[in-house]
Amino acid sequence: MAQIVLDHLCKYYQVHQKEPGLVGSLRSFVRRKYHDVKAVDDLSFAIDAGEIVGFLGPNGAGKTTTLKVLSGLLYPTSGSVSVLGFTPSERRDAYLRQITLVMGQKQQLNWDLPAIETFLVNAAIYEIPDAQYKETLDELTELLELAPLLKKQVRKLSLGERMKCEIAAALLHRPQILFLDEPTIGLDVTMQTKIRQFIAEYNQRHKATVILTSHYMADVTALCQRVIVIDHGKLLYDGDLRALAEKIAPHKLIRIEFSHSLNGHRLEEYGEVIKTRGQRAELLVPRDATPNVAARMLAELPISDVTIEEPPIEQVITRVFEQAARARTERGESDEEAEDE
Amino acid sequence: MFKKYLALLRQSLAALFEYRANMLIWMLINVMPLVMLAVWFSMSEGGPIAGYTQSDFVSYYLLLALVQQMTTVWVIYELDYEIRHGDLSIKLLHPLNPLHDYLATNLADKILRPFALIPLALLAWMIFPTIHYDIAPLNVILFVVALAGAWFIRFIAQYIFGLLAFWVSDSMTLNDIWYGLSQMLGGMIAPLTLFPSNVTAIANWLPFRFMLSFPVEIASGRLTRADLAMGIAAMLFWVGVGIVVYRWVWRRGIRRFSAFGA
Repeated sequence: MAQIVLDHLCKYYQVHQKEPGLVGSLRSFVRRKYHDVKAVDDLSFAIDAGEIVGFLGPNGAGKTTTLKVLSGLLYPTSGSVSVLGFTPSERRDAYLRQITLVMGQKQQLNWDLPAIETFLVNAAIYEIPDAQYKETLDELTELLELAPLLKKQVRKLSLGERMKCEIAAALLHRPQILFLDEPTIGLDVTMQTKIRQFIAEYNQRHKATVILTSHYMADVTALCQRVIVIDHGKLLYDGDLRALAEKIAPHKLIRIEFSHSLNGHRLEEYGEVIKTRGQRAELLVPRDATPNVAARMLAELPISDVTIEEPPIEQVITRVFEQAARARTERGESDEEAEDE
Repeated sequence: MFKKYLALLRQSLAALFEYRANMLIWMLINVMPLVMLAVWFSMSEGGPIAGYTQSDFVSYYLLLALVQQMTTVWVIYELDYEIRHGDLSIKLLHPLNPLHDYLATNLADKILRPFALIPLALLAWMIFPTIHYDIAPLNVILFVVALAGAWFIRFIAQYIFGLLAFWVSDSMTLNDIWYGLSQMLGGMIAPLTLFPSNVTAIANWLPFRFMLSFPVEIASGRLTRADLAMGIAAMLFWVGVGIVVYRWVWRRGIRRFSAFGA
């Protein structure tokens, strides 16, 4: 049974446009022209318990708006939303106790006090029994390495440390559903890896459902088997990440290093050359042909090193957006973005 | 619910202690009653004005200053900021009405304030030994009840104005107008009985009286039984109005917030 169900969700904002300058201000004062910005436009999907789903899209695509609708902060213009059987916009206590929304740029920790103080307040607000609180705190402290941080004033923590404490605060009540909006934004590589590991671990241990938005493809590839791609509020793709890559970019990337320069051989015979530099080269080769081409190259060329890779997922996703943009231009649609995603 | 308030109070108290110097200064800056006292003090030099001797004015204004201190509210600034900057969203994710957090923050301040005020009150008593109040036990209880009522009405009024930030960008102006009226008709400019009798008659029923003047009137011992009963009834009426209006504004406001978000 699906846990999260979106059915033809639409979220439109009314925005008025103002011409620049003083005349524009006067005109706008007398008569306002409103038009709809379609932040989310007929979005539908269903997610089962325990899934980790990546929510991808360029800025302004409607990702954050969708997460806010799912967590009850925004209510739909039309369409229906159901999470754990609840209607999020009703904001029932029983619902809010089972979810959490972590937004990279917003914080709930009290700035002037140590993080542990906010934890205690949350424990009371969410009515967490003492024993469970202790257990969860120990688990989070272990997984996120919080021990040295808990008693320091939040404003004295670094961004990465603060983020870890924010995540801990958001998970203290052991929510079943996690909405993570750019949880690794602004963090260094080590911290990103740690957070990723944590999310995977948490999902394993508690069978929590996770919807994750991120601009870092590494987050998505590490955690998500399924991705939902949206752009300009519309659904572009919903399914396996691997399958998407194979559909959009039916090539593999072969990187070669030559032991000495090629005499007479032309690389173009083997595939699409995308880069050459000194004694290195990169080629794109159709998937099915890869084993044969690789074998031929190894036999015929003076190769000292070779690797065969999937094309970077960033390329794949960029191509998805480019295709969508082209389709929109063909349909003659405007290119207005939603304000805060 | 009690446990939640305890937790919120603990947190607010802890946060307040981080700002020790600020706290002290906020508590000590309370100029208005002293200014008015100076005015009426000199004006009543030649003899009582409408039944108020110099000593009466001193008693009145010193207690007014204390009541003012014990009922200060600043929630409109917090609310306005948090609504505008979208910080309210974080609070809306918790299964608890944000009102309680704001209330607890204010309450924490009120718990600490007496520690600064009591020495000041003693000092004032030493300087003006002739100040007098009706300290019969029942009267003291009524005073405390009226004080609580004053605090609540001031809080809920400001909170409602703060919620207007959901709709208008200038809710502070409305609050300023409200504040100005409460200074005039709440007993700051002059004790209410000093106004022309038709003005006093109206002012006696307006909420402003119960935000500042009423507790002081009770302590002065000048109110008859009937006056007290009607006063308490009127105060409870305004408390009720405040709650009803707040709920209405909150429900509509949160719907609007959910439409536009931040």
